[in-house]
Parts: sequence; structure tokens; C-alpha cells
Amino acid sequence: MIVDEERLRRAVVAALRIGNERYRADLKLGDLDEWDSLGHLELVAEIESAFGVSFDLEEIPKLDSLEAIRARLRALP
Amino acid sequence: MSSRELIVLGDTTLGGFARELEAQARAAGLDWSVRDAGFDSWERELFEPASATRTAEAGALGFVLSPRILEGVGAETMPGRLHAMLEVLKTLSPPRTVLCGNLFADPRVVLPLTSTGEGAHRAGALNDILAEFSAKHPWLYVLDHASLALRAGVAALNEPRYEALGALYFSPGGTRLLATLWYRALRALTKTPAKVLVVDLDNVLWKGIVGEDGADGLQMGASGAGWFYRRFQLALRELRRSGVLLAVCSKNNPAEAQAVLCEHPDCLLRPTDFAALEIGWEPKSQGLRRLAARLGLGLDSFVFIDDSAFEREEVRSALPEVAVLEFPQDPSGLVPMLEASTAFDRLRITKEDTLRAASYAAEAEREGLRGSAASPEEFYRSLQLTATLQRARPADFERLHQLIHKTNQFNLTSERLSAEAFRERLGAAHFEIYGMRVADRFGDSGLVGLALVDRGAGTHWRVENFLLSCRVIGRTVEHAFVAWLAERARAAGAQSLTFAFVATARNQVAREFLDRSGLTPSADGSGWGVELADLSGLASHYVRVMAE
Repeated sequence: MIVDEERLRRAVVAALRIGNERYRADLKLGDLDEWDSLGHLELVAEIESAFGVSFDLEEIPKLDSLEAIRARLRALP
Repeated sequence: MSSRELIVLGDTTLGGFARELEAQARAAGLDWSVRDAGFDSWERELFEPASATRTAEAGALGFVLSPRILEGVGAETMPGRLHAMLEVLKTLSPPRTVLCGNLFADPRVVLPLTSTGEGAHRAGALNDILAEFSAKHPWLYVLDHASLALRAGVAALNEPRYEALGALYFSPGGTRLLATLWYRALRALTKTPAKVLVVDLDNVLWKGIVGEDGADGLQMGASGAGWFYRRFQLALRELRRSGVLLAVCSKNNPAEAQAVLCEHPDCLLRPTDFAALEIGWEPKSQGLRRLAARLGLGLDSFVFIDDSAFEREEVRSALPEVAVLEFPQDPSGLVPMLEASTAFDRLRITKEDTLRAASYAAEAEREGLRGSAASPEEFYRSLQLTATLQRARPADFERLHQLIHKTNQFNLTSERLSAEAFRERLGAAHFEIYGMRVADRFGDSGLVGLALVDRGAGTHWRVENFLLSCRVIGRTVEHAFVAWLAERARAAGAQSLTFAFVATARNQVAREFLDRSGLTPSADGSGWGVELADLSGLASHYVRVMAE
């Protein structure tokens, strides 16, 4: 899958309820107060619905940076 | 209004719920902050006297219990644990407003053909406990999680992967749906509901246009294109029963439109269902102004529904205080338009709410009598007024608090006591709170007056606030209430009685009452009073007063 960066940014901003100015393309878990363990589940859920995908239970904790999320989405057909 | 706090407690992780609820409330301009008391905190935080929840500054508490408490070994103990929780809530000081979601069972069972329905039974038993408690203790409101689960589907609320990872029953998507229900509850705690819903007729109550299609061409029957309009009329009837006044504002030939409302066999709403009708060819904003004048209500308590974008825009620009609903593209959106609107949200329907529509109809008859009476005295006498005065009881709490917040015109101070502050006064030894019920030959107006009396040191009684619903203004019952209070104060040994008064932009009516009341302004300007040695200036001659 080709990752639509704009769609990714919108999903992150909405899930973490942050202003656009705090978004960075290299964010990872723990960079923001909002991206804590709970925020992580909210973010992954938002990514799932934005990109129409569903991740396995075991891989959800590993998607702990936008880079990891991009890599996982790219690997999808 | 200052910021208010809601602390949420439950059996699962509610951090995401707290964030989402606060975000939704803030986005709608409500100044609520929402804090999660922590994972599985509902009993620990409540039963531990020194917990952060128990020691927090007065705020509201919210309980979100998941279907998981109905499962497994602990399930049988739940009724007892719920009772224990409710008992603790009664003892909290300062008193709290409590919101509690009711229960639903997770229906995804192992054996769908032979399910015992045990979970549903358990949920039902707990919900009965909650409903019964809420009926007796009006500071606890039940939020209908069970209906949300039916509407949205449990699969939309819970996602097993997230429950496994985060100990959260409500998935991020489900949390959003749940938070929307709760946001509406916070809004209803903060804002008074709209009082009047004004609807257009053609292509709103029925499909078709009276002037073009004729009465026979209109569709509002139980099948076909008319079905959505019929459902819409049923929904309007339900709103009417909840205390919303219905009114019509339509551009039509009055005789033709009236004939449809009176006689069309499929029309469920009849002219008597509407508190007032404006049918003619004037601009709609004029019609709305007339309706407001006839009903004696401010346009800021009006909601307007019209299928014409032109009319909606005309009303929006001429009367920005009126809430104009977005009209759906398709008639299937008519009922959802009402469901989505927060304008009529209330957390509880009081007896007075259910009487409101009939009471406005009685008022029209009363005005007819006033017009035909030879003098005001004859009019008052012919009404056969009775006023019943009594100490406020817990069952009256909701209505009396509603009066404090909704009464603008006859309100001596317009101080809007919070629910918590009002409950404190109800329990305070030196406060006496009286409610007044009014009835006359046209009907029972219900609980329509309130006096908050601070007995203070005993020789001087101070009425902290005195107010009367606008629907009974002009029947002299306010004079009877004052005279009765003065008698009571004197009988208790007091020497003087003072009513606090604060002029506001809207309480001119209250000021005019004071001028005619027989009370005199106090020297320091803080109120109006009377020396109880001489009560001759106070009596009201037209009202039979009963005290309970």
C-alpha cells in the first residue's frame, strides 16, 4: 500500500487530539503526553479505520512510531 | 459559569473515555473537565474515606460499569455491591450530582441457540435498582447505556483486541459513541432545554403542498412516502409529552391549512396539540415574533424547523437567537434530525413538564375569561384559585431546581444555585424552603413557586430568593404566598421578614410586584421587607391558601 501522508497526519492529530502544530512525521510513542499507552490504542484504532486495515493483537504494541506504522502499511497489499 | 469537574469511575480503564468526553464537551463550548479515577476504581475510591474522589472539591461523579461485571464468579454479588455503592453516595459531603450508566449484557455467547439469558436478567435486576433509586434521589441520573448498545450494536462498542491490550471494554470507536451520550448529559446539566418547537407544515408534517396538491394529495399515511412524515408527527407528540410546546409557523391560506390539521384522516397532530399557530403570508420571522409574544416566552428558547432554505436563512438573519435546525435532504432524516439535536435534552421529565402543554391551553381559556370579566376582581374571584404551600420534599427537588434555573421574569435575585448548593440548603437546619402549587378552575399548574428562607438568628427571617413561574403570574397568588410567609414567620416568633432583591435585565416583573406588594424597601437597599407587628397590608383576597 502506498501511504497517504496527509491521511496519516489527520489520523494522528484526531486520535491524539493534538493541534496540527505539534505533529511531526517522526513522532513515536512517549514523545507526546497524549501518546501514552492508552493513546497508543486510540491511535492504532484510528489508523485502522482511516486505512481500512486490521492489525493482529501481537503487532499492535510494536507499531510504536510513525515510521513503524508506515513500514507496516507499506507491507500491506 | 465557572468550570465544573466530572470524576469518572468504573470497573475498566476509562482514561480514553475521560479524554474523549472532555474534548467533546469543550468542542461544544461547555466548561467541564473530566478526570478518570483510575482502573477498576469504582468501589475502592468510593469506600475509602480518604480517596482522591471522596476528598475532591464538590463535583459530579460518573459511573461507567461494563458488561464484564455481570460475568464470572463475582456476578451474583453485584446487586449487593450496587446497593452499597448507592448507600455511600447518599452520605457524601458535600453532596454530589451523580451520573450512572445502566447495564447491558454482552450478547456474544457461546451457545446462541440455548443461551439462558442469564446476563440480561442480571442487567435487568441492576437496572431496576438504579431506576428505583433515581426516582427517590433526584441527584442521581441514569444514562441509558443499554439503549446505546442496542442502537449501535455491542460489536461497535467493544473490540476484543483492544480489551485484551488495554483492559478497556469500550474500544476507541465505542468510546466515542459513549462519550457523545455523556456529553449530552453534561450539556443537559449545564443548559436549560429549549421550550418551543416551531414547525412549518408543507413538506414537514406531510409530503406535499396544501395550496398545490390539495388536502387529498397530501401524504402522511402509514405506508409509502408518507410514512416518514407520520413517524415525524409521532416524534413531535413525544416531544410534546416531554414538556416541549409545539407551534406552527406556515405560509398558507389559514382556512385550508386548518382544515387539514382538523380533518385529514392521516394527520396525527391536531390543532389542540399546538400551543399556538401562525398561518399566513408574512415573513416567518414576523410569525415567530408573534408566537413568542402570545406564549410569553423569549425567542432564545425557540427552535425552528422548515424545509425551505430561504425561510431558514430569513429567520437566521432576522432572529439570530432562534435555533434553526438543518433540514435533511431526504424525509428519512426527519426523525434523526430531532434525535441529533441537543436542544430538547433533559435528564429527567418532571410532572410539570408533562402538564405544560395542557397548562398553556388552559391559559388561553383564562385569557378569554379575563377579557370578558367586568373587572379584575371579578376575574380573580371567578378563577377559584387555590394555593397549596408546603416545605420542599426530596421528590420536589428536580422541579424546584428547574424553577431556580428557568425563571427569569418573576425571580427576585436570579441567583442560579447549583444543584449541590441547593441540596445543601435543603438539608441545612436554619433554612426553610417552601414550594407553592397553584390550581384554579381551568386546571392544576403544579409546583410553580419557591421561597428560600434563611431563618438566621430567629427574630429576622430573610428570604434569600422568591420566584414564580411565568405561567401563573397575574393571578395574585404571589401576594398570598408573601402573606402566608409573613404569618408563619410571626407565628415562629420573628419580628421582621425581608426579601432579597437584585434587579436584572429581565426581572422587571418582579420589581413591579414589589411595588404593589405592601412591602417596603429596606434602608440599605438590599431588599424589601415588612415589620411583622402589622400585616394588614399584605393579604390576598382571591386565593384559598392551604398549608400541608
